[in-house]
Amino acid sequence: MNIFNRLTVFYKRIFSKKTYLIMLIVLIVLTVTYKLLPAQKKTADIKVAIYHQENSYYSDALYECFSDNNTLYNFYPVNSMEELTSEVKSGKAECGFYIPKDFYINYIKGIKDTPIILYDTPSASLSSAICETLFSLILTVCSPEILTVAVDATEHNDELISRMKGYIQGDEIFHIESLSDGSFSLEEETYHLDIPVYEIGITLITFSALLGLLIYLQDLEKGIYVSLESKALASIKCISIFTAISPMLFITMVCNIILSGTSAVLNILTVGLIVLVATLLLSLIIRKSTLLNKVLPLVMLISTVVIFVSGLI
Amino acid sequence: MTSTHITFRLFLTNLKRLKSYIVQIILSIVIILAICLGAGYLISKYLYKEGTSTIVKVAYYLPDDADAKFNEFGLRMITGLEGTKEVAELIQVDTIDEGYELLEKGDVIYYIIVPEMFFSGIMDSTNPELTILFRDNSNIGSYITNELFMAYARYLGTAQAGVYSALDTLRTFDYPAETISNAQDYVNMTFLDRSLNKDNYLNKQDATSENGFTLLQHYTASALMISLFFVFFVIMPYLQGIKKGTKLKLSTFGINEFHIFMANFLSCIPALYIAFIPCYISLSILYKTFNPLGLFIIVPAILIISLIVNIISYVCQNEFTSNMVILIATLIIAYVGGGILPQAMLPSAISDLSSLLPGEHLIKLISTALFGA
Repeated sequence: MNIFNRLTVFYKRIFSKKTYLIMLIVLIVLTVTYKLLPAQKKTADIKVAIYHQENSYYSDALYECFSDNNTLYNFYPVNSMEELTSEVKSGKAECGFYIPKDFYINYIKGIKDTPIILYDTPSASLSSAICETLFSLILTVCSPEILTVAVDATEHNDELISRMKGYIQGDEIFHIESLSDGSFSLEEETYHLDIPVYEIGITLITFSALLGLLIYLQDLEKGIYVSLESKALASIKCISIFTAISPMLFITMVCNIILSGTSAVLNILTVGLIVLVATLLLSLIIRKSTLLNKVLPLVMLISTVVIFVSGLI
Repeated sequence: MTSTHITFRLFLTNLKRLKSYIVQIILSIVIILAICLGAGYLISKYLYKEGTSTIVKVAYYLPDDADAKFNEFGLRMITGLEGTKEVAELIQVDTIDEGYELLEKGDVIYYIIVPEMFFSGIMDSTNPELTILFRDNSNIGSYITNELFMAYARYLGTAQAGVYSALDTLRTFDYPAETISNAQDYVNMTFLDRSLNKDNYLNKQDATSENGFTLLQHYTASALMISLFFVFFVIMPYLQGIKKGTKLKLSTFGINEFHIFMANFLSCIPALYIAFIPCYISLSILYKTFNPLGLFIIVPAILIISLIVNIISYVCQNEFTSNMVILIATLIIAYVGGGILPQAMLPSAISDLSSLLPGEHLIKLISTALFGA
């Protein structure tokens, strides 16, 4: 009965804290907002961004070649260098190619001064394979002019180009029929925009535990528990931290269930228990509310870093 | 005494008070920077995890015929290409049946049977059929290998078309046999160069750099920005030091909240500069760069940080709330400014806000101060 009364009192106290209520509301609002956002389709398209510094006959022919050849990779044009690097950095594109102004003319002549620039990240594992497809298509596009340069018979250039185009479009040259349907577009289940509700929830649970400890220490310094024995003090300390953690733990679990099902529930409960024990251990070192006030930001900083970085790793 | 004079005296008094905080400031900035740098290093290392692609095993059979030299040459060409190294592992089998067994067991996904006189057939346009058998063409690995086959076939077919076109044209116009033979060789060499030496026409660049700085340098600057904000956890009692009673007394001399705010704001600037110096020295040593101009470039960044924190301190009125608001505000500023995740990874609505909030500009200023333009 005594414990029940204490729990009721501490719940009333924790819910009277505006900071605490704001934290709870923020977590709920964040979850509901993201749940209501329209879902996006996730596909296994391998996207490749292309930026031509200057549009020309060759750039148009290359895009035509992409659609005619129905390659596995989804080559798409972008309008600026910033967009190109941004698409690659964000992971939207597997890699990106910057094709400078005079590239085609120089490629035809065999001049290596204006190379294509391939932008990728360490996570891109297919850029070399994509290069083979891109260069094979560039070779196809530029082949009539390459031939005129190689043969060096200017008066017959038209004849050479005409014959080359005829062969490329005909069936007499070596080619392989595609063994697959051409484009690989495995549509996976829909997903919502990622929001780190799990990480935010755990950070807030940590903060709540420290807030519970702070309330207990402030009460202790005011002399509210002066007549109590050490055993009763320990019990109050536990109740204070527990009552601060439990509503946040509950809301975090509900939010995670709403967003991603029950998979994280056990993890959240375990983390809640660890935070409770860690805060109790911290209370053995920090016995003054002023000291806790000072170190609280640092503890929060370390917890935030650990929670988010471990999520990333 | 005028109110300006008293404000100046207040500022001087604040500076004197600052002396007792110097050791705490230096110690705390070193600890906070170490934590933030550690986090920044881990993020820069793990943000773009090394991609792993499944290597597809491909068996091939080469006949022992008059084209053996051409076959070997062709094989060397294909295995030398980067795309092959990345995606496929080629396994030569001695007999046609051995390849079938490997395919049946699932040891290989593709099996290529090269027919007799394959290259001669390409030269004389009889184009003998290449047999490609596959066990599974449903996974992404097999699709990519298929794409690679198509690319190689395209190289070969285009070169073949070039040779045929040259031969046809020159023969039509009755060129001498020697000229035709030379032209055939030259056309062959030219198309071979464009197919095999594509690395000469390609430069690779890491796309992960931010504003011209490497990802690690970018996160170092972000870590320093966050640390400079968080050093106010130590200075907060200093900012909150003028209590209501003192304010009331000061008001009798014509000193209002604005004067106190200005005195606090101005005295925070040297405090932050003191915090910046050990970071600047240690990071310069760590990166082996020295940018003396950085000592001046950092000043606007310090002014902005000092202003933001003083506004928070003024609005919040107590130490605990101020610290918590600084913690949250700093994380938001860093997040929107691309200091936690690169801007390209942020939702477009947030990245549009970047230039309006100070985070992006602060990170750029600090990066320039540390590593130069």
